[in-house]
Amino acid sequence: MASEQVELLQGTLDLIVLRALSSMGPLHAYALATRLAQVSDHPLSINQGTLYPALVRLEHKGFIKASWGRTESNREAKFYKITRAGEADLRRQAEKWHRLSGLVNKLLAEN
Amino acid sequence: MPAFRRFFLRLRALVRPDRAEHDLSREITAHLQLLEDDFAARGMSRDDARAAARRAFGGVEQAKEAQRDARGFRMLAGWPTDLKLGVRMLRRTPGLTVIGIIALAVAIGGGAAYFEFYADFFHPTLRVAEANRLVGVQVLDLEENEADRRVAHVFGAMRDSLTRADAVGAWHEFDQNLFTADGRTDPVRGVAVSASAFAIMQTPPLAGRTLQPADEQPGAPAVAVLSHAVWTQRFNGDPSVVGSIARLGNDPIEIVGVMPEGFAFPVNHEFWTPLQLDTAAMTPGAGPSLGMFARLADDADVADLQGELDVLMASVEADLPPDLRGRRRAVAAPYVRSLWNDDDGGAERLGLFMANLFFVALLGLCAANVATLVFGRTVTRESELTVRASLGASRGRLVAQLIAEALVLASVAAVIGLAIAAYVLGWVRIAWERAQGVSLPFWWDGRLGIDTILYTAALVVFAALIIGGIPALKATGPALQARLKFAAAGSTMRFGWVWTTIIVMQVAITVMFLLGGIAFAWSINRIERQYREVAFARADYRAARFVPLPADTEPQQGALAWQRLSGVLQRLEADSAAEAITYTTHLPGIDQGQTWVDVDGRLLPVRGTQVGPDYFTTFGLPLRQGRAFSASETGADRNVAIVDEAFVRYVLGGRAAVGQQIRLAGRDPDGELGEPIEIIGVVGDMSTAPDRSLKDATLYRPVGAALPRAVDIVVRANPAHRVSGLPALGETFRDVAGSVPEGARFYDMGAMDAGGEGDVVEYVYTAMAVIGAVAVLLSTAGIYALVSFTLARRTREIGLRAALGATPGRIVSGVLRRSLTQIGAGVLIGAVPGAIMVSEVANFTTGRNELPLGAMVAAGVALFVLSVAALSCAGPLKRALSLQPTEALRVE
Repeated sequence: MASEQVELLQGTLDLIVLRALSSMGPLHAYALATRLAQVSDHPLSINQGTLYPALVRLEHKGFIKASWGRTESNREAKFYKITRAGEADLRRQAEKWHRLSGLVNKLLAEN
Repeated sequence: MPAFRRFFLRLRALVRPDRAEHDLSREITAHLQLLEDDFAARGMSRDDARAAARRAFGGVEQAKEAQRDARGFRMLAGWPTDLKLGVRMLRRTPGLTVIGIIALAVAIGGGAAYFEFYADFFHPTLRVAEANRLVGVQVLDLEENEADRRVAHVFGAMRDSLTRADAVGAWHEFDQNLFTADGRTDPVRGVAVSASAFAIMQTPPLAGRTLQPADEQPGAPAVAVLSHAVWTQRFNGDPSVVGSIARLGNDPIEIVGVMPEGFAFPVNHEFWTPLQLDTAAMTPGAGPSLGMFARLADDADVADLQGELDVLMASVEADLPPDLRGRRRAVAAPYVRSLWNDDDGGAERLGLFMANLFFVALLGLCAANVATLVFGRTVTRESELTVRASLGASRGRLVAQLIAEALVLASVAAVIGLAIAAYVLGWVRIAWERAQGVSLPFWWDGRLGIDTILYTAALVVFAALIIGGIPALKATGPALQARLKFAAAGSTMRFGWVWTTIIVMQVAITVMFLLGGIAFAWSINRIERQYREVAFARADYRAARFVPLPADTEPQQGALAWQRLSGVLQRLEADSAAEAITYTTHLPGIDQGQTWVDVDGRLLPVRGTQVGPDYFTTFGLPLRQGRAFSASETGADRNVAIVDEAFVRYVLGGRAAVGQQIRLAGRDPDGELGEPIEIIGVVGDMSTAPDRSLKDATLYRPVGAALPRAVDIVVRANPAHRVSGLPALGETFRDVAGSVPEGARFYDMGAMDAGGEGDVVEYVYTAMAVIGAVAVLLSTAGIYALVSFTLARRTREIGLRAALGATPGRIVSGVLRRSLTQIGAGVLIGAVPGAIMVSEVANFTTGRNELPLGAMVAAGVALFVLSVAALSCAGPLKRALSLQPTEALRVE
């Protein structure tokens, strides 16, 4: 089955990244992209380069912290870890998303 | 806090981009390495894995660009390079650069000059030490809402008791004749001032000393300090002037010091004598008219001083009847502010400040015009913009680049504009001083302040956003996205309705401005001619203004005024060179007095003047009908008048004047009408200008029983007594000036030439010509850009039409119909109101219906602008029509 390109709404990438880091622990950018492709029902074919602006945005907001480390294959990589402020923002954004998606689902079900 | 953190991190990335770049490169390299390892683990060769990794990652440069935008200030990143590119781009298009710089320089210069003018007037920077401690004190009558200047009793109390001010002073200004050893007699703008003024201003003298407290004691020797200008102009800069004796009015006075250039405290004064005032004996309303000032104590502010003044006024007024107490308040304010009487609550000042908006709007218009030229040029850069966008440049980056280019253009224009502003301010100073005969306030030094520089920087940014931003947003909008998405060929940019409107308005405003300039120049010229073209030879007449009594003299002393006038006239008559002498309230050809007359129920404005005996014979005005004033009618309140021929033509409609009764309403058309006045004679017109009208009608009354406060004495010299080309009588006038009694003044002596206003008019004409030329230049450039753009876009169509056999005329009319319609619309929109403006100005000046004249002038200007438009189309048209059809058809 050919993979489908799903266009992400602006802002949802940040939410997805925070969720992945919260559940998986510190990850580097490649691992993040791989993880996103693994767990999505409709594989999210994200252009891996598009993660970078999202990561720097989240870092500037203080929601994630970066540090250099070594992978299992002893390659150097920059690991990102969610912060407490990031966890709080994740909770807020998730709640907003549930409310919004619930409303949209209800409206679609009516039709 | 998060916002501050983000700002700080972005700022750090902007300042240290190399560190962020290194980190990003390192991270992407690591990412690609992990991808490559992954693909290699699946069985690919290293080379294939590397290629697959790059494909999976996507555009590395795009990712880097996106990350840079996210981590820094998008608009500011790359600005040094953008500015360099901007300079390069301006060099590549010299025509646009020159036109843009000229237009913006004029607009920015005008805006900066007005801003500085306003600031210098209302919020000046006093360039003296501790200027913030200098305050002025005014006593306001709270009921009348005006300043009370007879406040010697308040000054005395201030001087004796204030603690929140460590120095207090007052001043009383005067205009008196200063006689110098070389025989010259000219008035000086002087002030009797407290010695504390020099201590407060902390300006040491150039020579000698300043006034001291001992000089203020009643009975102290009469001393004076000169300004630098008086010292150089009246005493030839003589270093031995200190200690010399001059004469001020009737009294000898010792010169004790000379102040350096630029010192003119309290306002624009040039001669200082001590204020000798015995305030102890002063009651409210007594004493001379005073201005007061103070220096705040070290630990005090204006509010502290105000509190103390409120208490002081209560004690000063304690002896007044209860119903008179509390009517006055001594108000302290920063020095210059205190000199303005804001009886309208500052509305006038606010209005003058809001006039800055006019210059901002003018700049916006100029910038919009330049933006049309930039837009036309941007068409040629569509390919460049498309390539940059495809390489990952965001819209913001592209817009930032174009704004940077506009910033360079506007900045260069601003530098020139500031030079223009400095020149204009210098001219204002010269024109003011020549026209008014007095200097500007001492704080007006014509230098551009830091506020003006910052304001100019804001204007530059404003102009750059318009010139660069609007074309950039249009050029990088959906059309660019379409080119990227579908690899569309050909230009997608067009002059939409916004640009069309700008071009039409540009042409319309050019036409209106030219017509307005013509109307203004015509009215100025006519007014000048009214002064210039008179029925007497100016060079043979000498005049002087005579004030027989001080301004605050009681009316009962009218007989004394007549006595003094007679004395002066006798002295002048004694000179053998005096052929005829008279006096008047308004000098002909120099001064215009206006009065409203009621004739058959109609109120009309005419020139009105009071004259002495022999006025008409002195000026050689022939008596056409009736008789002149008799000796008994001068100095008595007689209801008689003499009119001129213009009055008979335009007020009486040509009917017989002698014996007619009219009534005067005075200067105010709503004023009460006086007793009927009989016309007893008709004289020839004073003005010889050919297009005379109601405005020239003159009514003469004999000077009444009460001599006016000031009269102009006129002496006609016998031409045979000319001395070195000048009329005689000069020495006699000086002698008279030196011998007038105490309190009288005889000044402003000279030949009856037109004043220095000629220079002012010349400057105004020059300024208008410059602005008019800029307007025409911008319009021409805008039309050129529009036509060039249109022809460039329709080159293939032109080729097709030519190949199908269309004549050049048909091609031009077909291709340029829209553009020509826009130009024509602009001319029409500007010409109609412009014609009305010209006719209204002419009507006001001549008193006739001048609509045909307005229409004719408007038609002429419209033709001129259309000719300029045709010339500007010629180049692009010639190029387009000279192309072979086969070449034109090959154009994309």
